[in-house]
Amino acid sequence: MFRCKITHFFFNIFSLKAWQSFLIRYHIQRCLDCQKELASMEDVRSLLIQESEGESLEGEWLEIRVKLKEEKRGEKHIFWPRLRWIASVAGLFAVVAIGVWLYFSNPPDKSPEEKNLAERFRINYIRVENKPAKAFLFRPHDSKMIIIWAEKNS
Amino acid sequence: MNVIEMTKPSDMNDSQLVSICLQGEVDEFKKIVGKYRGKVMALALNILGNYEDAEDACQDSFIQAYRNLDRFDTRKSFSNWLFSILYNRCFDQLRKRSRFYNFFKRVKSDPSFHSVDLESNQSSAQPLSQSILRELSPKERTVLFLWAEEGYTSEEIASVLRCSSSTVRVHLFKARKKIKSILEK
Repeated sequence: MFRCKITHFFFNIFSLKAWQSFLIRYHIQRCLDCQKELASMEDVRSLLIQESEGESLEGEWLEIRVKLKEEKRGEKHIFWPRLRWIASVAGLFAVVAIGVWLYFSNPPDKSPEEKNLAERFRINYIRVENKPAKAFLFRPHDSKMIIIWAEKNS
Repeated sequence: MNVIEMTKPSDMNDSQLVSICLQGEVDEFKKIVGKYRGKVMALALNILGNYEDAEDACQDSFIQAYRNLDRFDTRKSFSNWLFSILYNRCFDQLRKRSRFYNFFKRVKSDPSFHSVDLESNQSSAQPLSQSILRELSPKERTVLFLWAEEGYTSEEIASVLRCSSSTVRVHLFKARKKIKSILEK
């Protein structure tokens, strides 16, 4: 009996190697004391809920079928969210592209101050090393400073 | 003529039924549902102990099985594969249920809450066999069902539970011992 208890202890606690497990199972199957401590297959069967007919197959099948069909329909709709996402990104790009194009083709009107500046400040001709050159005028924001950049014609 | 076409549905084995389902309509799957629903429902009831949850788990398992039918290896046992899906679904249900009970306990602790005690009502309505099964863990109940009702070996049970056969033997041993001690009281 004491040996059985030790066997049970090892069987419960440790993960045994195949041969050790086999020896313990062999012991449990043969030992009457061990068998007395275990419920038989019949005891277990009497407690378990048995297979029963319950609801008709048709009723259950109808519910499963509806769910399967809904799922199939859902699979088709999966395409639309993806397409919607692509369409919204493409639309955004189009709006940005049109905005950039409009800005560069029709630059916004200059402020009155800038207009005055153009009237007051004008370069008709610029030469670098006795050759005609390009002139660029810069006026930083919030400043009355004007920078003139002259570049040789290449 | 195709061999499958010549065979009656009742005579077909699982791999034939699966290959027909893969070729054809959803309706072919009805044969599989018809063949396994009793066993599947019984296992779900033994794990969950509640008819509504068991029914949901069964339907979900059949739907998941149908969805993954192309992944099923026809050389293996279909029932093992289906039980494995069901076992996972049942454990999902149990997790959901434990979340619900935790929430319910928190709500119940609120002094302004007045309602019928769900848990005590459930346990009082249970037959003796159910209350004995409640002493076991869901894993032990699964092992016991597959062993006693389906006659599965520990290796077959291990393939359903996705664990080692020695773990299954320990679960089975503990469960049988627990039942015996409860029955002797």
